[in-house]
Amino acid sequence: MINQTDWQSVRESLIADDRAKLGEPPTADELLAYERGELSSDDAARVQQLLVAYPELARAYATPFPSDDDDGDLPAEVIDRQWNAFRGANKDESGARVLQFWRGLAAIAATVAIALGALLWQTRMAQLTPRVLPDLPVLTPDGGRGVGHPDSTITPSGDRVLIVLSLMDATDYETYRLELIRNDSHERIWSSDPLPAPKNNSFNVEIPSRALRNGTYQMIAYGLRGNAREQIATYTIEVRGPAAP
Amino acid sequence: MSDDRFESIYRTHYARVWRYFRKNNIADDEAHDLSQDTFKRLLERMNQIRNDDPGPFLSTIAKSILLNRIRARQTQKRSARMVDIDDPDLIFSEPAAPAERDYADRETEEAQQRRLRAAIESLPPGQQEAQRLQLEGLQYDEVAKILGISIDAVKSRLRDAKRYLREQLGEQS
Repeated sequence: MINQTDWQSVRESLIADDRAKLGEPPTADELLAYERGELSSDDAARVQQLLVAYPELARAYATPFPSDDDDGDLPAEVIDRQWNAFRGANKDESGARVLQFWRGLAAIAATVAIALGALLWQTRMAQLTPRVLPDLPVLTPDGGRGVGHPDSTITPSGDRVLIVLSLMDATDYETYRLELIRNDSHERIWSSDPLPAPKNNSFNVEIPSRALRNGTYQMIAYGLRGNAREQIATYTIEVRGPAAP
Repeated sequence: MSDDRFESIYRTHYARVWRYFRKNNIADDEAHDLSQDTFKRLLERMNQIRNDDPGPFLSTIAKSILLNRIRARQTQKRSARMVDIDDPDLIFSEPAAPAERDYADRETEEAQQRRLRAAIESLPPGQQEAQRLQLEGLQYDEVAKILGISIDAVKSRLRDAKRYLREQLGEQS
């Protein structure tokens, strides 16, 4: 007759052999995924076998979480004590987190202050230091030297391009206006306010490099007298260079 | 998420969480420790809860903590230090030798166990799993949850398994 000892012995030997064959018990994440039905059929079958091989884990897995109406048998003072202990332990941690946050913020602020200080110092030094300008392109009106003359090609370097527009002798107008137009799109990029007559027969114009893409532009000079406007000169500008994307 | 709301959740659900660990044969002190761990993890995830019922979150966290604890113990057992038969440590934990039994009795017992094991192993996998889980003292509903089948299916598998084992083991079963 098979007795309880036989059953027990066989049970233990089956468990030992299964564990040797199947390996480590499933992780909590695997079991929760198994419970939600998220595992593939192969993985689910493996988890089932492991649960049979690890009955303590199977028992815990199968134990339902108590329901809402399954009220506790813990006295209120025990819950008070546990809450106070919990609050004490987590207050320290949250205080440490707040301190860490402010320390981090202070470090960032210090870094930004140093960077801004360095930038300011650099700008100030640049303002105080004399600078030699490269040869300025002096543009003469089209028709004077012809389109495509080497002098009309500029290569922007730095933030701004300075050009000199020679008016020749057209200085008998009350005021002047300059306009910059991109040739291929006929887009008017810039139009000046009325300008007084220049004393040296030329206008010095500073153009932001970012406003100039590679291509051909025309700067047009108008002479203004009362409400009348007369086109007095056109300057062709070829822009070539790395700073003009 | 205000501290007041968390305190209210803590006070409302603490006993439930503690009781869950106690139901799983965790000693009282450790059940309190694991409950605190559960609420600590809940506190870290409070921004996910917003105004939802915290019950499902607590249930998942508590289960995860319990399963990890049991798994860690199982893994510890598996990786326990192996001792040699002559190791001095073995002497202190060596159980008293059982009373000497007759050789014939031992032979009979071992033969019985071999037959029983062979019969269990020859059961179809589904019946074998149900049978073995029931041997562990698990109830129908627990076996059903573990195997992902209905309680009726568990009963059916167990009925078939027992019938098969009786046939295999004859009157001895």
